[in-house]
Amino acid sequence: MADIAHFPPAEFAARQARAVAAMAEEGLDALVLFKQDSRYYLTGYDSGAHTYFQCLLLTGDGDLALLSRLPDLRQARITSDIPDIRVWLDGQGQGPGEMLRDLLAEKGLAEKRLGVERDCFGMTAFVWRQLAEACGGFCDLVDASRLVDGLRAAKTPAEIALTRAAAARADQAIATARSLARPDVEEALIVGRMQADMLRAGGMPAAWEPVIGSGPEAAAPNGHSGRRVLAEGDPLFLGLAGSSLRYHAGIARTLVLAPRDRAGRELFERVRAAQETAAGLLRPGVVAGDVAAVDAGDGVRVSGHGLGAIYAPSEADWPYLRPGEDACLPAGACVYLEAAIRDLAGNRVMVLGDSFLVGEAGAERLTRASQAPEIDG
Amino acid sequence: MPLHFESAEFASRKTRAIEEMGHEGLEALLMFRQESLYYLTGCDGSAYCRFQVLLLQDNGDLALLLYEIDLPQARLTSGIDDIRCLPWTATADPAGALADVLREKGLGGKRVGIELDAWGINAALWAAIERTCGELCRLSDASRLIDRLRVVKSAAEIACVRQAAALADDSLAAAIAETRAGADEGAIAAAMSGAVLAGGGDLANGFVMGSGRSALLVRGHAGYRTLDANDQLQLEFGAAYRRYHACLMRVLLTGRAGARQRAMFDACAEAIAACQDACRPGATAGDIFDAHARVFDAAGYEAYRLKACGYSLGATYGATWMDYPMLYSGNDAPVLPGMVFFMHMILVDHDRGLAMSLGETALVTERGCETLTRMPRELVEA
Repeated sequence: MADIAHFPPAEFAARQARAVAAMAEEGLDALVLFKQDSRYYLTGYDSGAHTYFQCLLLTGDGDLALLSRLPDLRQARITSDIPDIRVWLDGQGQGPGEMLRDLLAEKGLAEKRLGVERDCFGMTAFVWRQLAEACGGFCDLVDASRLVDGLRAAKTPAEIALTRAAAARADQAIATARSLARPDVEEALIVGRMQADMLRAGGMPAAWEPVIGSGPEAAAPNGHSGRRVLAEGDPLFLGLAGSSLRYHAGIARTLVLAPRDRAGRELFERVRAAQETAAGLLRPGVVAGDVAAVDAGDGVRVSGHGLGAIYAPSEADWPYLRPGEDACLPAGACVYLEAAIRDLAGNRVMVLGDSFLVGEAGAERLTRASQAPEIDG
Repeated sequence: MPLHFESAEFASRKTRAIEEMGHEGLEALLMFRQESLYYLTGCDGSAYCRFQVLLLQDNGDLALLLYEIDLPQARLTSGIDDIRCLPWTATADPAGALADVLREKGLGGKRVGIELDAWGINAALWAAIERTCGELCRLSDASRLIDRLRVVKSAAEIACVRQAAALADDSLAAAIAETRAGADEGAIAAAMSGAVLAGGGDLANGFVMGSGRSALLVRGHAGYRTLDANDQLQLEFGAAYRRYHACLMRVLLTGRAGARQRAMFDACAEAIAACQDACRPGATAGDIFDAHARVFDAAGYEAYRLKACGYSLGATYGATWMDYPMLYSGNDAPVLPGMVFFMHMILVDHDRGLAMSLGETALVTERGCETLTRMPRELVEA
């Protein structure tokens, strides 16, 4: 067993067995995994080195081999039981594409049908060219971007417990912000305290940065540099995730820095109703696109995404909750569901986002921080 | 939202990009790197995680194509006028919409550079773009075109890096204050991140923290440990200001250093001095690595050092703060005034279970280099 292991060996073995079975169903002889999320799920291997050409090979016999860089050799040994680890060196010797071809040849995979994760970070067009050049004529490379995602979607009780812990961290951050938010306070102070409180309570940095924006910048959803000082009447947008052992729970709140702000309350009631309607659809088997396609009312958008143990840079695990997305959510899926008004022309912002567990009996809201827009709410 | 640089600076960056395109025989450039968007327009955020491409033509015209959910971000953080949106649906066709833009701009049959080494263009998207645009234009890889401009910093950018360096120093000071036997790694990480954010900076992605045996790793991992007496805490971390990064690396001890640790630290200090001496205009990235290797090998640490000793830093996004070029043997990338390098001296002795490191951020000047981070080169025994 690995020195640092967050799940028992039996759980990893079961995950690998399910992946091998799914491969067989798809008629694949092996999987070449470029998603760090997939590697963590199947083996526990925990590293941020997906910024390089790095892949995990899983054969139909269940054999595992990792191709990585030298600094990740020990990391892989300490965090996983992957028996066969090969490293390539910067600017020296064989390139990673050629090393992968040799590995495939050694495993008897010439001419075989290989599933490759192509729709993911790390698998840039540039990496794909190296791969296709070295292995394209050697094996039949087919897209298998969603195979492990599909397995990851339904969480085990242990994974749900970690998602609950992540939700508690997110709630903590919102409570911290609510206690500090008032006119003349710096955004920087608030976001600094939020992050520190989450980490001190055992949370880890999320795969993406906490987003804070106020006044005219409250409508920017994705995180921007440069902090502002809060002013009377500001909307204050907070969007972040708590994380526990890389499992995430997202939350978004919009606070209004004005006493008894009726316009803000009215916007809030609209997004709250939209979120509630969409959350009502969260049952096992629901189609992801249908959740986002609810009639949310004028100017309100419902969207979201899956939640799981994923790596930087994106907040969104598979699948997106957006119209047309045809994936079904299984029991045990965790999702982030947001209802938002971001009206730049009308200078109106109200965003409400929470994490939900798709249970047999319906949705359970995992993030429990007060949703109210009033700072004393 | 105010842009972080003067409009004259953005204009001059664009002019130089167009000149570079001219040298490469390109009539237009398709950018998928958030780094390139931020550099040329100020556009900040994470839309590259979904789909986002910026077109620059040799007449200076800019057009941005992205999903409509990312429109407020682009409007608020950039001055780009021509923004086209795709509906946020699973049936939207980014590659088809891009081909429409290229046709409308009269770029059919023209030579168009494209950033392929970018997290914003994965293999699946590239396959779709090859289908829709591969016949339409003559596409060629131009992944490093904007990188070549970005790597040399302007005075305004250097001011940001200096702010980032001060935040990184604050972060290390916060770590030292928290580090003692019995301390929780999470509390140390909290103090470090809190200092960066509360100081007005941005988090830097790629944080490495490990103690005990895990100090020998040079990657971060999930989970926190409690420090023992006579423990070693490996920290490789950074701070960003306006997205510009500065990094530091240290091993902090909770007890007294042993003779071996002291000798390892002395070698790291000698190596970083040699690297910073080698880091001057006229040298190559490989020369800096060679200085690191020379010191460590002469001290008998060849088996314990790494095969790279640093890299350029800049305004970067994603899972790492590493920028081009890297410092490894034989890399002939030139060292130029205005470049910023993070140089990390790392020794990992698996036989004895000991780790030591010393990393600093430095600016290449006309004559040599200037260390931007100010924390002293001392072995901390907390």
